[in-house]
Amino acid sequence: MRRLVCLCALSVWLYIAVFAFLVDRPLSIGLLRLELDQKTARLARLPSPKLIILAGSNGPYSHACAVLGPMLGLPCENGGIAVGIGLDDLFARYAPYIRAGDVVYMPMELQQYTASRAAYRAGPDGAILLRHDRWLLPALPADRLAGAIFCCSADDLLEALAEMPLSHAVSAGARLAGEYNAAGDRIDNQRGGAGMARIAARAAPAVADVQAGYGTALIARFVAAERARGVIVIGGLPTAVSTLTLTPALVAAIADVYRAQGGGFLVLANRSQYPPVDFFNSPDHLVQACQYRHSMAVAAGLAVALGRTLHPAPAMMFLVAAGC
Amino acid sequence: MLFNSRLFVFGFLPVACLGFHLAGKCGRRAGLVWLLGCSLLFYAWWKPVLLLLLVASILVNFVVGRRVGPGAAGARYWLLAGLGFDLGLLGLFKYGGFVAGNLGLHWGGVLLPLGISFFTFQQIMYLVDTAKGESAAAPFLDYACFVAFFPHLIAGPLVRPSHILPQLARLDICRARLAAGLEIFILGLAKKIVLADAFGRLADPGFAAAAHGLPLTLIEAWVALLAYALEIYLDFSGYSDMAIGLAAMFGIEFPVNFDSPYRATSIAAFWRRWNITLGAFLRTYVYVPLGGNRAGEGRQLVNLMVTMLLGGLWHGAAWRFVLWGALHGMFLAVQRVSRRAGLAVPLWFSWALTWLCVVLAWVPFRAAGWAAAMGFYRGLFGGNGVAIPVIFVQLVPALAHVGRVVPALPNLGDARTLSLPQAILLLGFGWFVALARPGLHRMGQGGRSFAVVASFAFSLQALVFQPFAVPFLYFQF
Repeated sequence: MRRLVCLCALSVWLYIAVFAFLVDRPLSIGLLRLELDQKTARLARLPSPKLIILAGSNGPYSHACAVLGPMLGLPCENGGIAVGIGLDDLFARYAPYIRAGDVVYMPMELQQYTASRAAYRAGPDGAILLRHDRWLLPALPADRLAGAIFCCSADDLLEALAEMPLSHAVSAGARLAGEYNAAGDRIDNQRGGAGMARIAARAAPAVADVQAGYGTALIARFVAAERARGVIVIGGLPTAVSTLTLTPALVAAIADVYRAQGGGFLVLANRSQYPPVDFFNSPDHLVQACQYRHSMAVAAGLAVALGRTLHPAPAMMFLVAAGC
Repeated sequence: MLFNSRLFVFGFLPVACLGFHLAGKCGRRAGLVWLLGCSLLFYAWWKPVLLLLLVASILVNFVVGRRVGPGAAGARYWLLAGLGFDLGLLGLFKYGGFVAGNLGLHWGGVLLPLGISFFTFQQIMYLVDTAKGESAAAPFLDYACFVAFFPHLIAGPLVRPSHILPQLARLDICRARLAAGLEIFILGLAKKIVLADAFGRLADPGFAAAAHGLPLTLIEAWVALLAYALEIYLDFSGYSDMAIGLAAMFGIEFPVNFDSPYRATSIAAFWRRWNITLGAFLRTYVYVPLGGNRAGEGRQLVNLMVTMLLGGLWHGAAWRFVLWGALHGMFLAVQRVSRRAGLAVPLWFSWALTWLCVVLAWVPFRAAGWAAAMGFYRGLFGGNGVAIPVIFVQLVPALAHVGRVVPALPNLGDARTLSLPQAILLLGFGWFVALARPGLHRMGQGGRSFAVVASFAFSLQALVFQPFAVPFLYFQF
């Protein structure tokens, strides 16, 4: 039995050493990290008051700072990265650069609310923390720390073995530059580009799951903290396929996450729902024309909520949006 | 309760083991009582009401088993009654819906009890072996433990009564091989949650696409099929290894159930390496009683086909399993005929042909239905063309002439740019393990130590940090 225990301990020790110091995934996790760093750096540079869009990938795919910023007359950063990146991590990175008077618009994906604590432990940012940001590990709760230490599966190891040699041929920076504009909006979502045309709605979560979700608690804590610092926080519905059934009770439960903490909540006439054909490669990602059209609708709603003058959309964007 | 769940590994198993060894201090009987209690709890965990079925089945077969021994009055009728009861139970719960559906009749939502095929076949073996005098009637506690012993209750391996009942009769709890059993269990767990589940994630999108009638391109179809062939092997052999390891922890030795089946050089050899205990069951309790190879060549081929059809049907009440069984029956028949005709081929060719037949036969086994299977075959044979991810064309521009260049293959893995390079690495590793490495039970101490070091941390990661345990494929059978 002693031999077996020693072998198991050696296995864990080697695992940690390999993922902390040896292998990396520069094209997947590395890309996320670079994106996170770029967005944080731009956020730090933008003057206040500014508009920040905070969500998962629904943020950059379905919302465009290139439209929202000019229409609201605010500098804008599209800070969404991807569902799965822990919101606690994301909030902690962005919070130092969000100041009183800034506007945070949060069209969080529905699964962000219902994400469990277990899902957070297994999130992809664990690999980033273990490989590159180990200095942040001691500040994490014990379960997140364990999740970061055991960040990676055997698939991830193989992925690393595929990515490490390919990273010399594929520049992560160049790839990001082809996917995002300077404000963090996704720009590679032209209709038909993904070669996938079967977008089906995700199932809507139960009201009770939203209310009890670990993600909900994190979002509510963030809203309360930012409101206390004088930041204007407005929640919103994520873009979704029109076949998704959004009950009034579900919308009310989501709105309550923000309103109960002193934030606002924006519900568009179409409840941010679009036909399946308007989506790019997932039920959270609009094609560019609809991304612009949706952003115009959001800008109009935010202008009312903020009491700001609504400027016309840039002519080029208007033309593109006409294709939706 | 799944062997690969946190509840089982961190809760049930330590308690069951500790209790067994403590109870063992009071004697064999106390140990067996504890073991039976744990096994019944294990079975009842999913649907407690189904425990009644298991207990009723054990009681009936035990009573019948007392009356079928050689020389007992009316033994033949008791045996027929016992077999009728077992097959009736199996027919009612497992095949009732299938038969009714094919006859256009309505069949209520009868729940398929977990492991019914396995505990029914165990007891059929007991009745037949007792009737033939090959197994002695056992005391009730031993018999109940033999059937309900949790390591093999849900998905086998099917163990001959003459193999396990004597072990239970002379069970020495102090000599249970805890460390050796735990090592096998850990390696079986790794096969399942590190490898099989990873191949499942690779196979599922392709088969799901075929189920939805979407056209699979050549690479997508082959990746999905090669991944599924590994998934089902590693899933089931992982389960069997876990069962063998668990049994050893309780002082019982189970037979090996898989012996590197994809290295078989003929279909007959494949069935001596794949689910060995089921193959032995079909041979002993179906093929031989049908006449085996004693009644002429034509009859032998018919017997082979019938046996494999029943073997296919045993896997599930659906035509796709029947088709899978028919394919294997046909392969066996062709092999038998070609051997008789004196057709000799090089060993490597024989292996390659066997491998190809086995792998291609997994299509109907896994596909959602006839149309999905045919659509999948169309993809495998290039009927939907070839699509190549752009990342490969960037590296080797000549590939652009081979097929359509796409950003990512939509039905492969998670449809990302790197899905194909990752799939190639994963499949390469999996097939290397399946074809070039010795099976777990043929490994030496050094090989096993290396395997534990290489896999334990990944198993721990998957066990603790994956959101849920993926059920074993063979649980549905």
